Amino acid sequence: MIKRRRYQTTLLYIAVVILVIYLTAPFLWLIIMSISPSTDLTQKPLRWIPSSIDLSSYENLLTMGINTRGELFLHALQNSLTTALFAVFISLLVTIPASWVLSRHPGKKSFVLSAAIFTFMLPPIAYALPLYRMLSRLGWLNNSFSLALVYCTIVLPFCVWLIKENIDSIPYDLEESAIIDGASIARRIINVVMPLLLPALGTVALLALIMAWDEYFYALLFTSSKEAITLPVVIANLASGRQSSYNLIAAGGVIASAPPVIIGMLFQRALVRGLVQGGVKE
Amino acid sequence: MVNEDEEAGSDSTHFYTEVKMYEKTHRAWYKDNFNLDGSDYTLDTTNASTSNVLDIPRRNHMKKGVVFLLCLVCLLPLFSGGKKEAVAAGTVELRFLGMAQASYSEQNVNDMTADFMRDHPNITVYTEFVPYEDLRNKTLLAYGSNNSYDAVLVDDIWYTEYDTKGMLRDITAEVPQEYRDGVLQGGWNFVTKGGRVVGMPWFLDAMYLFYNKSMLAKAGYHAPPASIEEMVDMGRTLKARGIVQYPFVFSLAQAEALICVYANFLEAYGGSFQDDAGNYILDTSGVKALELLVNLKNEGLLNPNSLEYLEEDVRRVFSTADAAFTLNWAYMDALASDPAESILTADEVGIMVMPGVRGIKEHAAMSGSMGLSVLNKSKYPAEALEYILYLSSKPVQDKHSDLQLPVWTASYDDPKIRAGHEDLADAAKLAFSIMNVRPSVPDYQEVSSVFQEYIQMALYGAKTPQQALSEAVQKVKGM
Amino acid sequence: MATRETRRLSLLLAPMIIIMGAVIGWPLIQTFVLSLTDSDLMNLSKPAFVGLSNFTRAMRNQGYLDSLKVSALFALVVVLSEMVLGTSVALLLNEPFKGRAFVRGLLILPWAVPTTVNAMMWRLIYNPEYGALNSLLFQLGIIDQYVSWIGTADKALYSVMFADIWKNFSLVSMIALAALQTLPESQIEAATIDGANGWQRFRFITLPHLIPSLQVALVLRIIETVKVFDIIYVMTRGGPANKTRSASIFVYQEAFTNSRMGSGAAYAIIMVCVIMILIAFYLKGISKKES
Repeated sequence: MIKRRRYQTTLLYIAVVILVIYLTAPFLWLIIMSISPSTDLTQKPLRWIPSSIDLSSYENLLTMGINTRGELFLHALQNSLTTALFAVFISLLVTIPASWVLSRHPGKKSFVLSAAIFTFMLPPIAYALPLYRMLSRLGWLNNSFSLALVYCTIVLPFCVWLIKENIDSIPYDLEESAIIDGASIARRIINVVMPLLLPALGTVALLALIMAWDEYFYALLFTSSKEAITLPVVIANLASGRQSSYNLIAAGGVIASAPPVIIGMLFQRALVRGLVQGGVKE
Repeated sequence: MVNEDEEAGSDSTHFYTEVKMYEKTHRAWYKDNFNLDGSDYTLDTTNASTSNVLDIPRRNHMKKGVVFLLCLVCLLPLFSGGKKEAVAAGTVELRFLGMAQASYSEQNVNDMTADFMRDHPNITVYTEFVPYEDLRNKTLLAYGSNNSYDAVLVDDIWYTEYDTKGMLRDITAEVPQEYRDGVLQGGWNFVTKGGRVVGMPWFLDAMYLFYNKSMLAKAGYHAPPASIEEMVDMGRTLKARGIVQYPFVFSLAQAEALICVYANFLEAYGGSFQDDAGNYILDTSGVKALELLVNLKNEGLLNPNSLEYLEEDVRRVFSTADAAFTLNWAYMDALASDPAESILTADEVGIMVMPGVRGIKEHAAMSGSMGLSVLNKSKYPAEALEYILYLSSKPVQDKHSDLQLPVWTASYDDPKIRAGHEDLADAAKLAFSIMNVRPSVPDYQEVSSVFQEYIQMALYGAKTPQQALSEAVQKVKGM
Repeated sequence: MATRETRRLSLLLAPMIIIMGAVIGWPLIQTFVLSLTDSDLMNLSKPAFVGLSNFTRAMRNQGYLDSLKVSALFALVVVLSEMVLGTSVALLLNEPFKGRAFVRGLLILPWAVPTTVNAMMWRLIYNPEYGALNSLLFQLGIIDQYVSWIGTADKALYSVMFADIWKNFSLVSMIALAALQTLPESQIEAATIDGANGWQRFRFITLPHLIPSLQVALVLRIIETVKVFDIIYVMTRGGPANKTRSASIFVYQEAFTNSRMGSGAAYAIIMVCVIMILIAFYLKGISKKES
């Protein structure tokens, strides 16, 4: 351990305080805005501490009623969840067999892996238009499940890469004994690989969930009404400059951030490891 | 923390390393998720025995993993079921695309729609709302797909484009006589293309000049400005006396709102976007109007934040008494004196048609009206027409007249409708009689975005007004 | 036997290939075809084959070149700042101090906030009349007049960048921190005994150890910033005077707002080519590392 001098310790703590402010202040302010009465937010200079706590904007957004703002917002919340969960679910189903092949037979299929990396780097704008026409011809626009399928393409390259890395680290010996018992490929994957893979799958699922929750571009193009619209689109519409109550916008933001922030705080280290593993091979 | 992995890994067998890595992941995951002390990220793997691969703790987190995945799966149907309300056989489903705005607000339209559906139990209308900026894109995109809307809200500047593309249903023969006679002529003007009626006027609107009466009174003015010059002088006095820091605030963000504001001043100077042959002539006829705006900004009379403001922003600035003059649509009239939205009282808020330049014009107004149209791809054009006729019918419009004035001539003299907004009703009457329209061309949107960019450049001082408009016209010609 | 095995393996890969092919592959091919036509958004007229004229026009379009510059500048400034800031914060959080676990826990907060919420939040903070930033700086006496952060030509892009850095530096920081913790302290101690000062320890021990992880973060972030769309679209929509219009937004406007799919596709393909060059470098780097 390197000894610190006193002035160094002081500097360290100052730096830490600045860091904490930088990390939390914007989001804390968003929370404060969301519970301030709207008149507090149009004062000059600004009122930093709300004159009273006003939860009406949350009530407004979270009260279900026919033809209300709450209806749209709650639908969007539900759609976001459906879409994200469904995307994660399909992705994992597809990822496991694919990554197994890529891991156990690397020579043959490395092309597929490069293709996966390639797609991750493509700007969605490059294929969004024909995709729009395709979905529309199939009558799949404004539908959470087709949106989830599209989201799979964002999540998949990432999942495949991560899961492949994890399968790489599962000893092949375990499978060999299964082969001797005459197990098929499916059995080997389900009985031998899957159980060992579960924790990693959990991490990947959480990461994928956060990624899918965050998506905006496709949702902007492919959804429009409460049947399938997702939270990011609703939030962006709120922020478009035609909504006057700041506290309402802020409340929407706080609610939309809650799931990923909570998941992030709870599973931080698992998530970080997933991210690190995704790229670094030790 | 002991950390001997690095060295250990390098001199052990390949297999050994792999098992260790695997174990590392699992242990760490376990630790992370069920041991949330947040102490550090360090991978604590002091025990490197391979037999650990199948030991008890792993089974535990394996179980947790299974539980987690099961939860995911179980949640799915929860969120997927009960999406679409059951629709009885024989009913007609319509999709309407409207706009998220202050008036008619989503709530207003949904209320109207609910009433409509009560009267027409065989018709279900799904309403969708997007911000103005996305309205045209959404309409076009959906029309190009197999999933078109049945009825849409159309800004007056889009009618030519939509009509050229053959999107709008000709309803000339189907509009009831009562509508033909009762709705303001100005309304029919913008929904009629080549003699065919392709939409129902829904609201007629113009940008009005809002002024803060008590500020003007403080500076000794007891009548609103009669000309642009007088308005600017008033602004100078207000600033000089410290009554308000920036007397003017306009919605000059890079958006259609900027063109609307500019068009008002253009109108005041008697200029126009195009000549009779359809050539853009802003480089000659539009320079003075832009110079005026640039000078207002340079003199410190125009709120510099105007360049990022849309209509709602200027409304807020005006409503907190941080500006004496602004231009905005009729919807602001009710909101500017609404205690929940504004610190101003009804006595303080003045509304009028913007004055013109002395010797050129008395008043200037630019149309910002919108209509409802049935799209040609609608499978149920008759029902869609019925829906838009309902939305623009006199009783419905009168009922919601507190935020948006009806398109019916008779409503303007109805004391019940006039009550509370006589000034607006009078201003509207004048505005509708004189208001001009922005260019009605198929590629309007693109032309507009070029002008938006160059007008902003002039306002920033990156180019002189003359330069900016000349270059913009040049660019539009080259398209 | 071998063919049966191959068929089985293909079967396992099939779902992934079908999804990727249907959602990305096929549309991408169509985009290439579109770029050679004058197809319009709504498919009204029969598209005519126009050869490479969309591409030649694209390369001469000043607006497009400007938007490429915006994307490049955005990527450069954002990624560099995130690298520097992220690494510094990771180093800071690697030092022992009271409450370290708590601060580390907070580190994930910015990254977890969804992009659109982040954009909207900063839009509120930057508001020229009632924004927290103006009020704060004014009350501290740093500015004597409220500033229009995202409405001024020379500040808008940097303000958007600042918002993006706030969200994404934490990702870099978390990756760097995880890497730092696998650095054996014994190495640092040995270097100290050899008389290395703080800078030398960082330069010759810590940094080389961090570089592989930082490279990953770098590539991830470059890819994301080059394609930037959502944060700009929500914050400024490309304004003022197109000063924040990125290449993605330009293509979106060309294809959707101006209804010119053919030329929009051409613009998109040029963008893809630029990104392909980046990928080539990345893959080359990986293969070098592996060999």
